[in-house]
Amino acid sequence: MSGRVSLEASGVSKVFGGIRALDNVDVRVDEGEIHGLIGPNGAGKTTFFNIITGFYRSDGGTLTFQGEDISQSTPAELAQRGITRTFQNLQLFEEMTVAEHVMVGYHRHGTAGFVAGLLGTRHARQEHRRAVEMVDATLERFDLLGIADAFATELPLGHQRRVELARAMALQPKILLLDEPASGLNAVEAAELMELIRSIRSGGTTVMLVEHDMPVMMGLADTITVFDFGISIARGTPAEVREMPQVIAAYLGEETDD
Amino acid sequence: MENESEATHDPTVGRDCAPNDSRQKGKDVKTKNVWYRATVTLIAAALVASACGSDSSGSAGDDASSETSTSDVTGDTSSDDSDSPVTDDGDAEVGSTYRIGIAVSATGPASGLGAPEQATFQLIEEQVTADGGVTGPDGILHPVEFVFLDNETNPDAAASSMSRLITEDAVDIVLGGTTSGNSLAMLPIATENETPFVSLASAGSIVRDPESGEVRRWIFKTVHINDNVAELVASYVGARGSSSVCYLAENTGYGQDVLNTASAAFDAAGLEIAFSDVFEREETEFPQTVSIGAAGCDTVVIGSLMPAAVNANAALLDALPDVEVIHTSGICNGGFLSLDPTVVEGVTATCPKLLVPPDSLPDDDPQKSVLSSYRDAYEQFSGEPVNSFGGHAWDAGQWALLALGSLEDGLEGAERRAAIRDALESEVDGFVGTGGVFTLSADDHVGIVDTKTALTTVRVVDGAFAPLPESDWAN
Amino acid sequence: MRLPMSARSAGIGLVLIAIILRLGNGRGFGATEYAQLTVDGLRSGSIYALIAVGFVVVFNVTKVINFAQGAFVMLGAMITADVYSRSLTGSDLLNLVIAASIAIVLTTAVGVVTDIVFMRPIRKSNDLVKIIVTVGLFTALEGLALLKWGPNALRLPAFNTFLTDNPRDTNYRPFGLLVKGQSIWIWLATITLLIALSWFFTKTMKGRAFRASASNELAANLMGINSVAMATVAFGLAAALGAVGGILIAPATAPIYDMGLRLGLKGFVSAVTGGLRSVSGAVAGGILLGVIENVAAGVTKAGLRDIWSAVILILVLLYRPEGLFAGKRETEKV
Ligand SMILES: Nc1ncnc2c1ncn2[C@@H]1O[C@H](COP(=O)(O)OP(=O)(O)OP(=O)(O)O)[C@@H](O)[C@H]1O
Ligand SMILES: [Mg+2]
Repeated sequence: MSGRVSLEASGVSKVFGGIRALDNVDVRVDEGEIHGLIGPNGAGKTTFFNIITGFYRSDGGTLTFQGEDISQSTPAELAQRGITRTFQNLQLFEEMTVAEHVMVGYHRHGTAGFVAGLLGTRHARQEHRRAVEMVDATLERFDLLGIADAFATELPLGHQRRVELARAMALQPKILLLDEPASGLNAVEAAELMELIRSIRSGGTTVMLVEHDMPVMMGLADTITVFDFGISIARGTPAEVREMPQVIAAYLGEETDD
Repeated sequence: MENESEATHDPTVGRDCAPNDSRQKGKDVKTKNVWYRATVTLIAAALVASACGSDSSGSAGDDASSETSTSDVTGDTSSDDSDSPVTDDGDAEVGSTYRIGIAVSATGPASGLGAPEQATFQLIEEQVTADGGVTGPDGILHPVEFVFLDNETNPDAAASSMSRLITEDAVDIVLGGTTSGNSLAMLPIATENETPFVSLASAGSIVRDPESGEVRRWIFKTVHINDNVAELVASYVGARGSSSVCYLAENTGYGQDVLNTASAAFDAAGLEIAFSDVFEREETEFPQTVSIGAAGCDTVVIGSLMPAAVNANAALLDALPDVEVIHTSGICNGGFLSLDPTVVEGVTATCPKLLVPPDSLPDDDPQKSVLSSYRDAYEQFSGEPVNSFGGHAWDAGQWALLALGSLEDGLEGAERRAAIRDALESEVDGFVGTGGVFTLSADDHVGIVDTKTALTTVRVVDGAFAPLPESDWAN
Repeated sequence: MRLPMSARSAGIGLVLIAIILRLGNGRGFGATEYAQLTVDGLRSGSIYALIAVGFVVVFNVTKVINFAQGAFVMLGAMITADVYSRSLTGSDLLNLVIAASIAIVLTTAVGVVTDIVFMRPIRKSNDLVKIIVTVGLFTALEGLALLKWGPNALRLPAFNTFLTDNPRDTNYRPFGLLVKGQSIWIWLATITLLIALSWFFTKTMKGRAFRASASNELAANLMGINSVAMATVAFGLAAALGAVGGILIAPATAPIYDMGLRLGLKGFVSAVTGGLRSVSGAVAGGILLGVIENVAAGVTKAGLRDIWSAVILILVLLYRPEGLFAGKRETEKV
């Protein structure tokens, strides 16, 4: 909404064997907006996220973040630059507490090296103390303080999603990609989630969101891009997109959950 | 002769390369899980590969394949000789050249044994060459040519060196082998080609087929067998009036063999072994000491090579400081005294006579002069302190010269080799060597009639082996 | 399914204990003898534990069973004994400290180089290839050790000799037991190291990042954690642990170029006993193996000692492949 481009993909393609999961798609995400990405199952939304976050390489086209080429970066490098995501199927750390998850998210702000860590130098200890403070703040924000010492993988799904979100936010990302964060949540949880996502955006983080839950999407997104069979078929505000014939065609018989 | 035993059972030699190493079998874990099985097998393979592979890498640096061209030296000398005796000294006729093949482990893990053997053969070569050769009973002088090959402490290389010596170099007799593994790999080829072979290794099975019990017709060795050790240990223990003896053996071919032979010898001496067990070479814990304590032994025999012998000794010293420790001949060379002097002070061992200072032997000892002259000659020639490996080579070389010196002129090829073989059995008769007084016969291809000519009891005093004469056994 | 399973494990355990007591009885063993065997087993068990933690650390991050681990143990012992024997300074104690430090640094460097030069290029290969490479590395390191040090054993005096006038280890004899001074060094060092390690893993940023990478590489990547670098750290850490194990055990044996195989396999069995993924499981596995092995060897033939680790490996894989100490939280890793 600020008008500056955060993430821009043009001509991005991905072929798996015979399947063109993405075919020459163009997506532009502006800084500070909540950008929705919708499309039927198999449209290529997750694949697109995988390309942006460096898990897959695009088979062509260009990919820039804040004007710089990121098409060859690894996930870890992208995370260091401020791009991170959550997963459609959760990816949590086993045998780590909620607080530790958040602390790992804070990892990129640490500077003490391994040897310092092993030897327990002053620097390492101070850094640890700072991290603990930061973690408490994040836990509070995501309402996780009460379960800070629980093992994340043992929590109910709704909590796990919040842990993943909190972990991602601990990174203090510039752009956060959320892949179906509301799936499996009940209505109350979904409403809480919408609030959280809004607060993330107001904290200055650009959000890109994939979501099948149309009410959630329509209520949150500033701009929406629509994929179908690997092609970007539409772009506009929720109100505009909802009326587009090609979108209606793509969703014919699909939109049962409204 | 600990030397031979070491030669045979040097920890790095043979054992890890042997295809059926018991350690591997122990690790051959059968599980449902293919992964673990595969990886464990791989580790076992790596073990074999590392021991064997590094042998060859070890030898690669040194002049590995090595036919040392001594033939040139000998050839020149013999042509000189053929000139001089004939022209200067009318009645010495020169006959055909005899060829002695040498195949020791000059390189590889057993090079600590093979190197002194090699040096000793070179010493003999120098002496024989200076003499112009050996003179037969008919007065005809035969030049002697030595052909040196390196068996690289590797049974394959040993076997092929034997083949080369016989087929390409057409030698009349082969000396060497260094380790039991190498010797056992070499001897079928010698037998097949009817070529006498004198081994420098310890295993009794080298000269006697353990299955048929028969003496191998073409194979001899100059090294005492473990029965000799067991016999001496048993008589020592018997003389001390020990009430209860325990036995600890290294879990290797050597250790198993000394333990087995010990049972027989101890039985014969009327002694009972109250408890016996084996231990691993790299052992860090010795639970056996608990059983020894419970069995109440006052004497423990350790049948092991270096370095395990010292580890076991240290464990006994810590757990049961009052127990008397006796070592077999496996430790007499190879850093026993230097590895950890705090452990071995005061222990008793049975060692080759060569390892004690010659002047500490009684004057009436018939071997005294050969022991001291070989020691001096070797130390001067090689610049290294004497050890018993070289002594075995010395004895083997002398046997060969004795046999060659008994041949009539005119023998060639197979006929000559058969005559040498027969001559070994007849000519080595009361031969006084460094490793024993030998009398070979058709039934005995080692020929040590009296164990005490091969071995003596020693005690570690002030960090050195001091002879322990029988008269002091009870002290 | 769990109840009959644990009942079976408990049954097997009871039967083993009965057999041990029966056999020991035949030798006139009493409480002192069993206690002695246990004390000695605890000390080799501590070393197995350190080595096993090395296996776990590497396995967690890279999913590779690193059979070069045994070579790290050997290098730790051999380098220390070698450098110590050079008497670089006038003080034996200082010489030991210098030698041990050099050994740890060099061995760690070998671990790091191992990963960067050999493991990194085959990061995407299948596990069998990686394991074969680690076996090859073990072989190569052992071969290099043979070239460098030859087939003869080296020696490192017991650590107590540096603090007392006694030329041999100071032995303590509480309650009729023999406790070697070196055992106490081994226990103290192992405990200290494990506490430091656990502090590192749970209380430092890098340690947590390391665990995250071990737990879920994908998610860790998204947190900006470079899993390729973490693999290198894992190898370095494993090498350092192995080296310390080698240094501690060196005075109890005569360090020799091929000592790594046996200790490496014991560490591997310990790690598997503990589930291969868990550091605390590996420690428990190592201690358990050390004790069982020593007690079993004490009441039977010690020549059978190495068979016990194979027996334990088979039993664990058959009945508790997730490890003896796995709790209900144990889940299959994706
Ligand atoms: N790793 C892969 N290998 C092969 N095909 C893949 C892979 N990942 C995705 N695909 C295929 O690419 C197409 C796009 O999949 P993708 O997961 O991106 O869709 P999506 O829009 O996220 O669908 P959904 O709404 O079901 O999550 C599908 O046909 C899928 O089967
Ligand atoms: Mg998807």
